[in-house]
Order: sequence, then structure tokens, then C-alpha cells
Amino acid sequence: MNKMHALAKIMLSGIGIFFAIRLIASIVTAISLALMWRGELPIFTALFWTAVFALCLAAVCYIFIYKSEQLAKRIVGTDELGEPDSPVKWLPVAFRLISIAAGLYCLHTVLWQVTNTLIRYAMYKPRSVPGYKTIYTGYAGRFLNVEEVLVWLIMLTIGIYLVCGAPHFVRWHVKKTLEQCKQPPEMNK
Amino acid sequence: MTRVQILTKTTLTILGIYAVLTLCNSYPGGFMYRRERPAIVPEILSLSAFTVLAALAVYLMIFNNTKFSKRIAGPGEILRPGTQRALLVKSLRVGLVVAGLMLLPRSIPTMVKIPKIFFLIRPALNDIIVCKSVPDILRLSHSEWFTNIYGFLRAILALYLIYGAPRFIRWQVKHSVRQESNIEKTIATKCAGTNAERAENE
Repeated sequence: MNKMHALAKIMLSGIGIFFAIRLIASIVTAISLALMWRGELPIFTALFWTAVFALCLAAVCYIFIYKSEQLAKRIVGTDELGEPDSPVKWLPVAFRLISIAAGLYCLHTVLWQVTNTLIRYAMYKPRSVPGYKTIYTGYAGRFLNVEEVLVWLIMLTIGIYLVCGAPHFVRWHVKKTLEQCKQPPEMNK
Repeated sequence: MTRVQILTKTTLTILGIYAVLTLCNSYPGGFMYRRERPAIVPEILSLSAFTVLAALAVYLMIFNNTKFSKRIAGPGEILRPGTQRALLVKSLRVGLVVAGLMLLPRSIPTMVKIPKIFFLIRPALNDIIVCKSVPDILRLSHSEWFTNIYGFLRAILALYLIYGAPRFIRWQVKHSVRQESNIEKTIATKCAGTNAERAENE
């Protein structure tokens, strides 16, 4: 097993645990909903969904955690793959990549929220259905509030800064990380 | 510890934080914006189940992840103690900053709301002291209280993780080294016992 296989195995196990967490949370939520809000989710529906989630959980655990080695071998391919060169200065690169990814995520969130508000505003019909106003409480009568716009502006600024590579942020983190690495281990004290 | 095991440990730690947040987010009392209260006993049972699961996630994935990471990573070349420590610090820092940045967009609305509280404190105090009535900002359903407190704690966590979580990393490194040495001692004791048995049999 070379480094690529090992990394693939870690990633697959990570994905498995990620989905397992979501499925366990869904199972407990379904049971809790059935117990707490009677009528909202009938007990048989809750049991059905619990069984479905449990089956998915078993499948995820089997494929991604128990059989992760075989899956990693299948994904990466042959064992004769060359070892990737270990970059000496990978830390700034890693932080920069993270910043760009986080920036994209931030911009995506802003875009989604703005689009969502615009669609809600376009669909808003105050006198169409009785009780409609209660459903869209946040948007009835006031399309945009200062707080919402402020949140978008802050997110947009942070998103653009991060997408640009966040040079100050990266430099500060690299400096602090190297400082922490140089600190004497506390176990020896 | 091997290189792969260190990376696995970091992944497990981040997934542990994610597990706790997901469980808090999935709690039915938290996401349902309702005024009427559900039955008390099922609610307590549900809260206990979520608390136990969150505690289990913290224990297995953050506090005691050495054995689990060893099982996932498998055997490999063991690094020198200095390299181990440096790699663990670097990978944990990178991983925790990732987690913090991913939490940031959801936490910004809470961060914006926090300064608003300072403007609402005076009228609220006035209502309590002078009018002897509960102010509107405190008249929230239990699920709204839960959501607000959860949002506030998540915002603090996001800021701490973006800052690099230095104390957590220091604790995690120290704890990992201690766990590793304990495991090595156990293995050495077992090996010594087996060798002694073999010698006696021979």
C-alpha cells in the first residue's frame, strides 16, 4: 500500500464516518419526532424511515469503513504508482487552498441567500391565500432589512478576500503554526 | 505514530466536531419553530439520547481517537517524535481552520445580531424593573431559545477555530503523545509476557 492508497483509505473512511454521523442523527431525529410531535410523524412512518436509515448506515459502514482498503485499491489503481514528492513548504499552499475553497463556499452562500430572497419576493402574493403572510413572516411587508443586507455585504467581502488567497491571513497562520511547532513539548516539563 | 495515522487523527478530530454540531442541529426541539410545547418525558428522553450520542462522538473521535486511527491507518513507517509532533500540529491547525471557515458563513448572521443586544438591554431592563413585565425579547419558545444559544455557541466556536485553536492543539498533541506511549507500554508488557511464557515452555 503506497501513500496514495493510504490517503484514499483515510478519505474513504472519513466519508463513511461523515455519512454515518448524518444517518445516526436522522434515525434519532425520526424517533424523537414520532415521540414528541404525535400526529406530525406517525409511528409507522417513523419506523419505516428508521429501518431505511439503518440499512443505509449498515451499507455505508460496510463499503466505506470495513471494505475501504479494497475500494481504495480499486480507485487508485496499481501498486506501482510513484510516490508523490513530499512538498517541503506545503503549509502556505495548504492554507491558501483552504482560503480559496472557503471563499468560494462563502460566495456560494451569499448567492444562494440573495437568490432565495428574490424568488420569495417574486412569489409573494399578500392576498392570495389566507395565512400566507404567516408562512413568509420574515418577508411579509418588508422585502429587505438592514441586518440582512449587512450580513450579505460582510459575507461578500470575506468571500472575495478569501478567494483572492487571503495573503495576510495565510502569512499569520503559517507564522503561528511554525511558532507552535518550535515550542518545546509540554510532556518534558 | 505514522504519517497516515496522524492525518487520520486530524480527520477524526474534525469529524468529531462536525458530529457534535450535526447532532445539535438535528435535535427536533431546535429546528422546529413552534409555540406549543411537546410532551415533557419524550423531550427529556430525546435530549438525553442526543446528549449521549454527542458525548460518545467527543469521546471516540476527539478524546480517545488513537486506537481508531491506528485501525484505519494500518501499519507504516513510524516517524521520529519531533517530526510526529510537528506534523500533528500542522495538520490539526490546517484541519481546524478548515472547520472554522466552513462554519463562518452560517455564523455571520449571529455575529451581526450580537451588537444589537446592547441596544435592547436598556428597554428590556426598563420593562423588568419599572413595568414589572417580561420584555418581548425574552418571550421566546424553548426551541427559539435553543436555536439562539446554539447559534451563539457555534459563532464562538467558528471564531476560535479560525484563530487556530492553539490551546486545543496543544492539549491534543500532549494527549496523543501520552496515549501513544501508554499503548506502546501495553504492547511491550504483552510482548515481554509472551517471551517469558515461550522461554518457560522451552
